[in-house]
Order: sequence, then C-alpha cells, then structure tokens
Amino acid sequence: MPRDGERSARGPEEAVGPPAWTAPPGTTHAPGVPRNAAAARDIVSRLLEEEFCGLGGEAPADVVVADALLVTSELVTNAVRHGGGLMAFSATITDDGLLLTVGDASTRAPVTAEHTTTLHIGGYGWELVRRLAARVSVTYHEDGKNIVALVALV
Amino acid sequence: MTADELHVVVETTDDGVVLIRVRGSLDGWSGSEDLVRALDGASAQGRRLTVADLSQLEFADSTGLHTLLNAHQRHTEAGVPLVLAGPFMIGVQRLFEVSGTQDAFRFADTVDAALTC
Repeated sequence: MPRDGERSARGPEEAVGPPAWTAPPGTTHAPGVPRNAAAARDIVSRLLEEEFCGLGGEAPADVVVADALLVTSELVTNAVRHGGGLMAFSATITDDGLLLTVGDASTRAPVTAEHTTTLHIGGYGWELVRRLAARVSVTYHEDGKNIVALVALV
Repeated sequence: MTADELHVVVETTDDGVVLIRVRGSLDGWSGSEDLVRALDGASAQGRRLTVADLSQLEFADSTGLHTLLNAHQRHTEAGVPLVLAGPFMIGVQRLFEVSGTQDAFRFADTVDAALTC
C-alpha cells in the first residue's frame, strides 16, 4: 500500500479524465425539433428510406447511411452540449446529397479539441462532422447559429 | 426497450473473464451510466480480462467513443486487458474508422475469439 507522498496525489478517477457527456435531465429544446439525437437519427433514417425505396434506383450504401446518422448525431449533440440547445433541425435530400441544418442558441464557434498527441480522449464530435460532410457552413445570427452540413449520398 | 436506449448485461465466465454485453444505441441520451459502471467495475476487479460484446450495439457516436476510451484507459491503468468484440454493425465500425481510433483499442472479431485473448 503506497504511503502518502510516495505517489501522485491524483487518484485513478482523476487520471482517466472527465466522463463522457450525458444530456442533462429535462433538456429543453424548441417545440417541433427532435428531443434527442436518436429522434433526429430516426428522421434521417426514414428520409433516406423513403427517398430511395421504391424508386427502383440505387439505395445509398449502408456505410453512407451510417455516416449520415453519425453526422446527424454529432450535430444534434453539439447543439445541446455546446450550443445551448437544439433550436432548429431539418433534413432534406438535394441533388448534391443529404442537407442537414441544425440551429442552436449560442454564437460560440463549434468546438474542436486541441490535439497534442495522436490519441486523446474527447473532442471528436466536430471533427467527425468535418471529415464526413462534403461541405459544412456556419452562419451566425443574433440568437445563435445555424450549421449546415452536406453529406454525399453516393 | 427502444432503440435509443442502452441495455447492459454483465456476466463472469468460469475462467474469470468479465463479459459485458451491450445492446441498443450509445449516445449522450441513451443512459450510459450502467455501461460506465460495468466497465469501471470490471477494471477494478483484478480479473484476467474484460470483454465488451458490442455486436448488438446498433449505433454509437463520439460520446459513446469517449466512454469506451475512458474505459480503455482505466483498464490499462489497472493492468487488465479490455477487448472490444464484434462483429460490429456498420455504424460502430465507421465510428472507429472515421475517428481513427482503431489502434486505440484491442478488437476481436467475435466474443468467442475475444474470450481466448
């Protein structure tokens, strides 16, 4: 059993780092927007299904759908976690792909963690969006911002 | 159980492996406390191995990844190997690929393969 002073004062809980984010209970959101990331993913799943089902054309590959759902989840999570709440959400299919619009209540720019080593814990969300989206734009307004991400479907 | 929740079952095998089976989705709303508790508990027990069966995990995003990375680090510090067992559904596979964390974890193709680690 190590004596006091023989090891760092930090216990194992502090060495690991902060726990993963969980949504606070009773998360508020604007009426009519998805109440959580799963609800938003559901909207996108159904949209993709309806768009490609029964057209006799090529459905997007499973990996494309997976990527779309991941971007959706990250954007909605960020809106609640960093953006003061999900204020708007829309998903539309355009000629260029799936257009996701997420509005939040903060004029703070999206957060990317500083990486000083190749392995780090936390801060992946925005980076995943940037890697998977063909295009991302952020528009600021008085009460918050809108993030528009285009996810290619081919 | 709806798809947007997480369901966790913990077993201990005869040869002292803690097997944590996960079902559902892992995001900021799905209630990851049970999984965190299971993983933390497993790392503290001093057994020879922890296997997290993620084959029934339908979706995970960066908050889920954060939980897994924390668990990995805790296991490393405890000197207990943690193996993530598949086969992974496409969404989980993509999370590891796109985040570039494939080298951060020990993976096994199946639970059976993981148990022989």
